[in-house]
Amino acid sequence: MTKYFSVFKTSLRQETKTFADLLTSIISFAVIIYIFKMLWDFIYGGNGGGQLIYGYSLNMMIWYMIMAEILMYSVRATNVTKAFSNDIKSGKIAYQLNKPYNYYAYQVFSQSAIFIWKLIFLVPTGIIVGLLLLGSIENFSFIYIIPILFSLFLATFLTTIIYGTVGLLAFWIEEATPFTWIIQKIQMILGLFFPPEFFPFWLQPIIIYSPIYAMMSGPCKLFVDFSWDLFLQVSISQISYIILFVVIGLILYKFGIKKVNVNGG
Amino acid sequence: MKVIEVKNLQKNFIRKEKAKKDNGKKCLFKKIKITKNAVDNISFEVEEGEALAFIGPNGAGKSTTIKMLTGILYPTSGEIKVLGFNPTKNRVKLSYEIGTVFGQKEQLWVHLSAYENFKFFGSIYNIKKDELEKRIDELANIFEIKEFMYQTVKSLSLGQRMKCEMVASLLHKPKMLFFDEPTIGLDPIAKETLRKLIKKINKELHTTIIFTSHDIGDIEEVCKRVIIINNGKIVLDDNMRNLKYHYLNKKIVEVNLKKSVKLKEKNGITILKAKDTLYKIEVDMNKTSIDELMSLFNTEDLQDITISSTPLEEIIKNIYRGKND
Repeated sequence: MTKYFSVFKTSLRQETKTFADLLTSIISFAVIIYIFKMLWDFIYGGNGGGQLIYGYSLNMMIWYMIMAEILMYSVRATNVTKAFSNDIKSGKIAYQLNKPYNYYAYQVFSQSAIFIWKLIFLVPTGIIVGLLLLGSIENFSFIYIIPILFSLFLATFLTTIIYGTVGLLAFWIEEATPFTWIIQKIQMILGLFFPPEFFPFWLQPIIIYSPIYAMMSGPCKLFVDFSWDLFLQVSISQISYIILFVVIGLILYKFGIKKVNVNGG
Repeated sequence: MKVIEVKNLQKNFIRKEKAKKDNGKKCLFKKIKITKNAVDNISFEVEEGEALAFIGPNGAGKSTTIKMLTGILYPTSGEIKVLGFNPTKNRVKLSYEIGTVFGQKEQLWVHLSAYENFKFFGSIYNIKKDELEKRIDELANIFEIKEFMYQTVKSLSLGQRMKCEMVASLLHKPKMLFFDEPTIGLDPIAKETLRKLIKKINKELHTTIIFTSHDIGDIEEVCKRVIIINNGKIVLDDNMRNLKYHYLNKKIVEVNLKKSVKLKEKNGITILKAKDTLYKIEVDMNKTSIDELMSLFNTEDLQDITISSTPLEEIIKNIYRGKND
């Protein structure tokens, strides 16, 4: 495991050298938050006036959306899938297979570091933008910050694993990114735009037990309505899905590696 | 001691193509399998400390063979043993014993310094901190990289980068090093330096070298043995000295005479070009001699003469084409 932490550390160190890319990401993130704030203002009718929609005040709704956008901006789903599928399709994977590590784990840790680096900047940006636009969040205590950050970290890691596992499909199919696109859109509809409570009753348990909840809705709900029970529920869901997708990924990798077809040289 | 043992190795690549109807048009759904024998039943052995060139034209199967030796590709049939390991079953264990340098693919993190990269590779190969520092220092002296190893990799020249790539591959003291076109894109001086360093690794560190390159100069200078592979089969497996002795037997003689004469071809003497008083003649030294050639004209008429060997590159090209007579 030490070597994978070394991969994570090295990838993180490499990311620190590309600050300009991060800056553009932060600026566009702040603009998007402002646009969504305007949109939700309209939906809630003016300044909200204390109105609740499915138990969410305007203030809570926008804080939820800020957290969801942080996660969406941190993990570039298509980048993860492409990191895997491009290596597989182009044969570049061959140059990594003669190293003493598992390629799948190497990529997951390497990609996670990139996204954690973004998360480190997007969280304070989101909080500052939120405080400027909305003021403080009700019933929020600073002791919640650590479990929330832990949950965001797990969500980032899980999302990387899920989209990386999709990327492994490139061993069998020519183009894996359409699958990423579909999953990403589901993630946006069921996680980014609305909390689970906004959906029909019959759909809510499906969302809560789905990976989307562990990737997005769960950690975002923690920010607007923190409880230790909810934290435990979200963490169990995240860890379970991490284990599940790691197992799926390793199985796909084990079988896929035999299909590596690299000609030329 | 044998470090590589390959027996009846075969690798088939299967691709699917749409089947054709009787009228020559492609079927909509029906597909047929097309099998290509990339490596066709080859066998060879490599002794510890050898410097072996594994060469062949594009698509010959050399890269496929190297990738099977390093465990990247699974063979269709046959046996491989590299340093006592079966590469397909023990790829990770084998990776601790071998190193790879690819001229066309950098393994270093470009935004980090070479030194930071060495630290990373040290942790990947489980090298202890003190031991790693010692090894970096030792290799930095051999490769003369101390003055630039703290710069980011992206700011290094290609030659400097290749030196750092080699150091990264040697940190874990591999018993065998695979080089895949390490001098590609380098200027002649950088090429020369790199070739010398590879020879040094082979001689001083007793590392077995497996070398693939299209640059015959690399092979001539670095390797003592050459395996030529074409259409998946080994067409030549000999040491460099024998190759030169047997195949460098043709001399190219260019003569400039005072007056135009009519030269007659003889057994082993072929007139390649004749223009005015200039003649380009090929002399097969196995069949005749330069003296025999000189008897074809009056030596008093000789203004200028140049004798050269057929370049090794030309010979290897002929072997690729199957004209190795």
